[in-house]
Amino acid sequence: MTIELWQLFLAALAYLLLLFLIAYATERGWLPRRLISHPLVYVLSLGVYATSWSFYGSVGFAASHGYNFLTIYLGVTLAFVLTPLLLQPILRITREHQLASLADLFAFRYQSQLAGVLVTLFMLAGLLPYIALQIRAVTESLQVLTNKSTPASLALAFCATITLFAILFGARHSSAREKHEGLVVAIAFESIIKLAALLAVGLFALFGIFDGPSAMQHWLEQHPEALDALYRPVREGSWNSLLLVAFAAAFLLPRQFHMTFTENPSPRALGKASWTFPLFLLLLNLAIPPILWAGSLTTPDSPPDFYVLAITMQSGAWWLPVLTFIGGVSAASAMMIVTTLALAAMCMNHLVLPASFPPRLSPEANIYSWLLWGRRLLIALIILGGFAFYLLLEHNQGLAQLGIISFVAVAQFLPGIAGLLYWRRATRSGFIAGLLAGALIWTVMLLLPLLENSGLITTGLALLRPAASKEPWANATFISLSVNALLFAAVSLLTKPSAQEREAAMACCRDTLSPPSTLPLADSVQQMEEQLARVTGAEMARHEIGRALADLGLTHSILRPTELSRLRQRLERNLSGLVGPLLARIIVDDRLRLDKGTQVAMADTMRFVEQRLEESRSRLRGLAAELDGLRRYHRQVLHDLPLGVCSIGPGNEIISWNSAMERLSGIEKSDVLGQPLRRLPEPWNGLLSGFLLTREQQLRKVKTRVGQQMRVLNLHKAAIDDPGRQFADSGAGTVVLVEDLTDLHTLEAELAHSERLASIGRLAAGVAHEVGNPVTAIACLSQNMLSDLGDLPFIETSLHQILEQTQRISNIVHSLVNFSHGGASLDHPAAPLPLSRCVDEALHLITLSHNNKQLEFIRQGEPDLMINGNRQRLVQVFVNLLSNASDASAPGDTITVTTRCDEEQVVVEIDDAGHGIDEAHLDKVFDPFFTTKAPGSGTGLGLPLVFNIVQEHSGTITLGNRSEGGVRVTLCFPRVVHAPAESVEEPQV
Amino acid sequence: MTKVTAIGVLRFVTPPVMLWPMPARHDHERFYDRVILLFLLALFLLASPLRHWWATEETTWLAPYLIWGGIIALAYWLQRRMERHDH
Repeated sequence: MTIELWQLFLAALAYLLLLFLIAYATERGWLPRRLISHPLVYVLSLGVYATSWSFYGSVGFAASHGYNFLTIYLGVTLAFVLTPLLLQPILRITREHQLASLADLFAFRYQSQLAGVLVTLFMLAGLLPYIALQIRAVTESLQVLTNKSTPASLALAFCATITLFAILFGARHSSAREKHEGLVVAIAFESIIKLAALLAVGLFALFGIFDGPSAMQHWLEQHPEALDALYRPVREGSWNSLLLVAFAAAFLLPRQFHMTFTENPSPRALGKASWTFPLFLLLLNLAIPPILWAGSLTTPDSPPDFYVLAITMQSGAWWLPVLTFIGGVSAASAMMIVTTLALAAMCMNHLVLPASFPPRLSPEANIYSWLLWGRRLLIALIILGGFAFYLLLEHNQGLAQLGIISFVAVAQFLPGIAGLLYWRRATRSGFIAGLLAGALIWTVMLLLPLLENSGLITTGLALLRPAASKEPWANATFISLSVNALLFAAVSLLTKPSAQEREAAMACCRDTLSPPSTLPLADSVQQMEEQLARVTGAEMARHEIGRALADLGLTHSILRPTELSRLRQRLERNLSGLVGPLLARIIVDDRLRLDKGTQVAMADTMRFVEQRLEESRSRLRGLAAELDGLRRYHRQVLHDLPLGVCSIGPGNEIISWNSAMERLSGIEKSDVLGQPLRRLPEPWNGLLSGFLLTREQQLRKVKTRVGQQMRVLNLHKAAIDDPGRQFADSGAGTVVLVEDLTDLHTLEAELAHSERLASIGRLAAGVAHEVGNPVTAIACLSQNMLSDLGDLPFIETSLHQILEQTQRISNIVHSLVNFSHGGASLDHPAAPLPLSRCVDEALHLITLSHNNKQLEFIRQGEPDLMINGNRQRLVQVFVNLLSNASDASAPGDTITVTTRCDEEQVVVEIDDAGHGIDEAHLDKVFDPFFTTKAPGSGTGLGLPLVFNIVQEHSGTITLGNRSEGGVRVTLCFPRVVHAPAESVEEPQV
Repeated sequence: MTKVTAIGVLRFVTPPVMLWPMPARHDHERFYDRVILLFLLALFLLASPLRHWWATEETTWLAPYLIWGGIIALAYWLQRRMERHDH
């Protein structure tokens, strides 16, 4: 059975049109979103690894090198097993820094344009033969099926279609970092076709040619040399070298790098690929041995590279050869499209842009359009280059030979990638030296022989190379990689990394944090936009600033320097996706300059570190993980503390603000962190700023209005020790504890009021008696006036006496009212007042209530001693103390109140002549509910209340027995020396 | 009467620093350790002289595929455990 060329051409054309349709439908959103974003689509798109070499060449490779062909896939399995330690870190770096290709990655890590250029050129040199191989596979497959030579125009048409597809679906955006869903779905579809076609051929070989597995097994038993031919090379050949180059190719080949990292939808999808992608490769290769044996049995004259196609011709059905041919086309087209896209991005960023960006491109030009069309042109040129290579190459190289040459080329990046991920000391000189040496050895040992064999050149270098062997790549791999790694390590150790390299190394290596240390000079978004516009043009600057702001969730109105710093960093990363990391850095460094004189606030540094720790939590190991756990524990303790905790950095910026502080102030943590203290709303700004300025370590019972409510707060502060001497100049800041006493204070006020009312009850009898005397006198005078109505002078005298008596009653009542007046002390703030006035008032009330005992009250000492306090509460202190003294005194005893002062304090001593206090009770008298009085006579709250009020006035109270009998109570208050006259509190009447 | 249990006593005497939640971190560590172990096992099976043992005509032609499948199964098991933990 033969198939006509035009039939195959139409089949290929129909298939490519279907591919266009799938990509287009995806881009237009016609396919379900769940399907497009399914991790399996991403995994299948990684199947671009399987090119026509895998599809056709594996059988040829197996024929010549036995099971060594499996190393090409087992190496990939080894690399994907290491996904969490190898691929995920690369994905993190490429996503964070918007790096679209391997050249971007190396240029970013080693901060060298030369590194980017070398990687790009080496990739081009290594992969053009590989692209040529794909074209050749398609044309030779046509030849096998039609038995006619394929015209070059057909190959050119194939290349043109691929170019069109790559441009339409792979270069839709100016930035290579943008995702191309249409392309990914189309490549995934191609993987399904490849797998289906190979499995179909395998099943045909097994059942169509061998009559089932048992028949094949029987054939193998009869032909043990067939199995030996597969296993012997594993024991004797270059198995390990091939494993190594395949391990490298799994993620360093441009097409693999592009699909694995650039088109990756999420880290989770890559995690799934760690086993699904190797499974895909296993299924793809399961059919190879049966096809090989079936081919050697039925079509021994065909080249083994094309047994896949040749045996299908035995089937008699037209669809199997066509499906196989389509599978081959899909393998070749997928590889060409993705490789070309990746190479075009590299060439653009590392060859074209550095040579043409500034100054040839004026800011007026539309850079987006320029970049887009530049990439499209490069895609066309690269495919054209592959086509030229195809025309030049003699068809005497096996498919696998060409593929492995490319694999050895990309393996030269292994030392560089190891340095990138794990060795911060690696330098650009080391990388370039190693790469140049590896590339030179690869050229001499692999590329030049290829060109010589194709008759393109005559080098005369044959003597330098080992005798032509069946597996030249084994030696080439070992020698080139050894020299490369050795030079990389040695030169890195002999040279010093630049500051930029160190910074990039920190960003690439695991578990390292490097917070930004300087701030941009620009002080607004507008200014940054203007500065950027000078090199990129106004339109691009506006677009890029808007995009960076959107990425960060910020608005144009931001003013905080640290946010501008983040914006600058984001701009650099976004531009990196557009023009490559080095050019982006040059633009940003040149236009958005940093102010070297300023330091980033500690709060922002801490926020950066916190953020990075959160992101890298899963990667922390060992002691770092334990320390992180401890850090979180301590942070949680601070956060959940029932006291308000607020720490303030050396630059007066707020570093922490715990949940109690949020509740107390009503201000969210996110609104204040990193803000300067002065931005806090009142009263917190004044309260905290003032407290930081005072020398006092604590402020007690500060009354302040928060919202509509008056609050009583205790403030404590402590300087934060800086054991690491990180902030040598300014210290590590201050921590402030805010204790809310409002509820307690209200309770105390209510208690004091109750105690006052209780005192009034106790005073009531005496007061009634005192009021009774003038009332009796008024009654007598009134009766006398009634009997002598005609005696006007007597009446006048009597009326005067009545007025005197009513005044006396009024005074008594006023004293009582003053004392009993309710209301919280919050309403009456402390003010300077003469202490003697409070003592006199209390004495007056006590005299009224204890008059029947005939006690003698003596006032002595200095009058007009001023203290700072609340008159009503102080009167209550003296009423309670004098009342206790009166209760303890016998009738006729003397109670002495002495006032004196020194420079700092006013002292009041109250002495009675009572029976004293039992020594055992002295320690308990200030405990609530402790009383020595008879039940019903005392509440046990009087002295505790006195103690609290005295403490509130920053005073002290001591109580002890006098040697001559009785008790002495000593009160000390801070003295106010020069009180302004107008501020002296007048007694309330 | 209040019962004093061993756990109660332990909670009382254990310093708070021992109580912060760490299982998540240990799971991640174990995950990385298992990844490295799996990689070393794969190297041992595929890249060491051990392959002289399985790469003989006495063994079935499926031998390399079975080893390969075993490695994939272990990678799947690891990935599932990690995903379950993350959820």
